[in-house]
Amino acid sequence: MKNLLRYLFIAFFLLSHSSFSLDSEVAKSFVIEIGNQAIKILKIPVDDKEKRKNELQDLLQEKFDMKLISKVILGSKITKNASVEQLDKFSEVFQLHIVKIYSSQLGTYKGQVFTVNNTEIKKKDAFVYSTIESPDYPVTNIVWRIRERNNIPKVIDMQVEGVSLLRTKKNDFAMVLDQIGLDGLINKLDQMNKISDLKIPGE
Amino acid sequence: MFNYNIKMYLKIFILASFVFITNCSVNENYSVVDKTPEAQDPWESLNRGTFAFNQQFDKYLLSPLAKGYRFIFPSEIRTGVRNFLSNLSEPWTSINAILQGDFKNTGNTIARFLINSTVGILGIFDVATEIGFEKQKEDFGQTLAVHGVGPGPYLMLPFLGPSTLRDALGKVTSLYADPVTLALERNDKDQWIWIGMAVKGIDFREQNLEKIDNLNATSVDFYATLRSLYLERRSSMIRNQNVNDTDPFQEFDVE
Repeated sequence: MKNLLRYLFIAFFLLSHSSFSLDSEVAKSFVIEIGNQAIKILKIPVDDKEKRKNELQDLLQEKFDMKLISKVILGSKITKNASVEQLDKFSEVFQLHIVKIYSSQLGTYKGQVFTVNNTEIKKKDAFVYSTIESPDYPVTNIVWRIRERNNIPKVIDMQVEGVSLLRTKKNDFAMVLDQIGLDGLINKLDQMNKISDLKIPGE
Repeated sequence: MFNYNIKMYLKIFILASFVFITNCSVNENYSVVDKTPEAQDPWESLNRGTFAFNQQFDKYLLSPLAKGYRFIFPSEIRTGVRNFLSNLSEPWTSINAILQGDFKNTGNTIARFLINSTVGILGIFDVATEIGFEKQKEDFGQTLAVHGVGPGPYLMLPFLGPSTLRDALGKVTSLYADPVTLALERNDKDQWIWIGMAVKGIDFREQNLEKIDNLNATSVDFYATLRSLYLERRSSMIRNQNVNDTDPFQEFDVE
């Protein structure tokens, strides 16, 4: 009986531990790291667009689970019917696409202050609430959705002022996916990634 | 006569919209729209037509005007104009805050209006924000939403851009109920209402010149991107609305 109780206790401990495997403090410091890296990118002179892009790409690769994000954006129907090569190619062009978007929207450093406020654990994800305060603009609220992937925290979505990166891109791609399919979307993104660098706000 | 016709048309539009929205909020299919930003867009082809028109309007008129505005006026003057116009919207914001039962924001908005109109010299300087009274925008579309009116179908308005039927009704109502608008109408200064709207539009475009252009350049389907941005942003602005009700990760949660 004692043994049974012991095993039950161990099983319960393991189960409860795995469902809250992502500690809120870990998630918080993970987002602080991202914030610091982002501020560093903002401080890179706007003329050095290549360096900005490279740093941003490193940030995405290191801190975001781009493979999972890509799959969720495509949806389960398309993912199930696509080959591994197609999914890998999409993930690759999508990552470059995101770098293109953010390197053109990030702007320059004008005394912005990044603050991480509180963290909520919902099911298996941590939602980290943060703000960017700037002398020129109203406060911007950003919510980071973090999930532990192979024992490493990764960003799987972010909401800027209530607008989710993932949902926006999912909606952006929906019609093209419906009309010309995954290969068509990959080609389109590939072409878009080749357009020359865009003007950065504040440049 | 021309003014009378416009007013008649607007009244008919309000009535028709109200009937439509009431029906929408009763209809089961529409009752969850605010919780799911993937909007009902039954008028998509019409909306895409209006969007194409708006893009031409932007290309040939709005964007060049915004660039000219930036070129001619220094940033300090542009900020002053923006603050002045923003201050004029505070009385309408406070009325909406009351209608939403948000008395804290009502007090905040009234304080902002009084401080900025006096110390801030007719609202040109936003002194209120500096001393802790943050700007919070409330409009009639949000008021309707707080009282349970569903957004209705997504609607692309000519010149004004993304909206929903409910939010469009909110915009039209403000033309009749905004105290500043009413005061201008009563004094036969209707033209200032339209001038104010035009300047606001040019100022908004100037503030977002690169952002909007870059968003267009990096969108596969700019219409769908704007729709998504607008609906999610509105949803998060409306109290007690949770945009995460349908979680796109659900179908991958087995991983």
